[in-house]
Amino acid sequence: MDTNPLLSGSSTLLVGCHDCDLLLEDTASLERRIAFCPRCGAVLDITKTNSLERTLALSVTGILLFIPANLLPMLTLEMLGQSNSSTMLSGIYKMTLGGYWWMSLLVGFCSILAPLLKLLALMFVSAGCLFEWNKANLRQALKLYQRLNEWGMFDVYMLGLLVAFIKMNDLGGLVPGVGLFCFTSLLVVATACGSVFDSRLAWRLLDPVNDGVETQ
Amino acid sequence: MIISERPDLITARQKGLLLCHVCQKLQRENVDTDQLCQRCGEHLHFRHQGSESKTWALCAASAIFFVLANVYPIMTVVYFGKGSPDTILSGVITLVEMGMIPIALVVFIASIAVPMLKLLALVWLLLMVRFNFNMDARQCTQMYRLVVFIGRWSMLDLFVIAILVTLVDLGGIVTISGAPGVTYFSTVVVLTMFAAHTFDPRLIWDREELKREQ
Repeated sequence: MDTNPLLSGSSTLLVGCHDCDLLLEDTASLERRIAFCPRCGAVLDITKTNSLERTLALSVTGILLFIPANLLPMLTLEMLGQSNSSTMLSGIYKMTLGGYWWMSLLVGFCSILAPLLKLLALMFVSAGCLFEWNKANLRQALKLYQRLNEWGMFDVYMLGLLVAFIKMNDLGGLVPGVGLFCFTSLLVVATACGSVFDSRLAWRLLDPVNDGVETQ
Repeated sequence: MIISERPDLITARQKGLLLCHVCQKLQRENVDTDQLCQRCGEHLHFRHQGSESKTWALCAASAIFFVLANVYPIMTVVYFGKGSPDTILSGVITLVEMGMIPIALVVFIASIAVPMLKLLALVWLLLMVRFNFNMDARQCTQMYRLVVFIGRWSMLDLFVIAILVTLVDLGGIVTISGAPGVTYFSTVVVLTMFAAHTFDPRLIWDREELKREQ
């Protein structure tokens, strides 16, 4: 990969700041940097080491963890001889039964569908960039990832679990299940996967024409 | 800071360059009415189209739903046959009475403070852009980034309810179920997230340029 001119070597390109539209000349090497907009402070570029390989490894791990995290019970409430378990899917199912389909749709989208699609898209994009698959499909996947980025809410769900745990702790015996440990690992892996992924690098590699506007 | 600053502070728009909001590719403007990004195929515009009016509309709609979400109960706890519906605020008060101050604070911040501050911040930015308030553009941009960042955390209460509904379902002893407020609150979350995205932070800086020219 080191011989790729898009990955190493210096370039003189024009870049625009997405937050204040300032036009900037990018004269520095693309290796190892964090670039900020001098006017509004937006982060314009952060390069990551071995971004594609790490993203691929972490996204595959995340997808594998996804299955137990969704199907195994996360918390079990034991009270007066009765016990009740909660999985990620069962909450959505119960809310749909209660007639609150709009909420269950949103909860299902933010806690299951969007994070899963994000991981799948990252796996596809990183593998595709490494093994040089059809660029048009990879671009679609990368666009999907960027659209969904904000809607994957594992971190918020984790805090929700914590709040539910503390709220119900004095009601009866709350037992954390295997699902909770899988989910916690999934949260860590998915967050790491998102932060090692360098979307600018991926876009540069997937560009059908060339990179940026020439300076003249 | 490695990217060098151009001394003349020229924006991409002044040079006739369009920045793709999806893949960040900078490209020259065609005279065509509808230009697509060369790299990702997205529609290109100098600024988000109808940014101000769309954001106003979404803010107004979410304010209405926010009132409804707070008036209607979001959760019903049936304890030994006795049901008590809880609104967002009464849920927080119950938590305070039970002595769980930190959790009460978390729920209060996520479900009441965040949506409210988000709406106020967006309305403030919209007013600032429209009426040219003398505000520091950099600080306004930072506020905008904060609005985008905190928005997703309002989903917290909905996740808590989805978890509690399955967890606490012990027949005649204690059952927790949802209440109509959740529908309104879900709508608030979606609308405020859309509102944050339709607002174009570059509008803040366009005012700065007008000021400098005067």
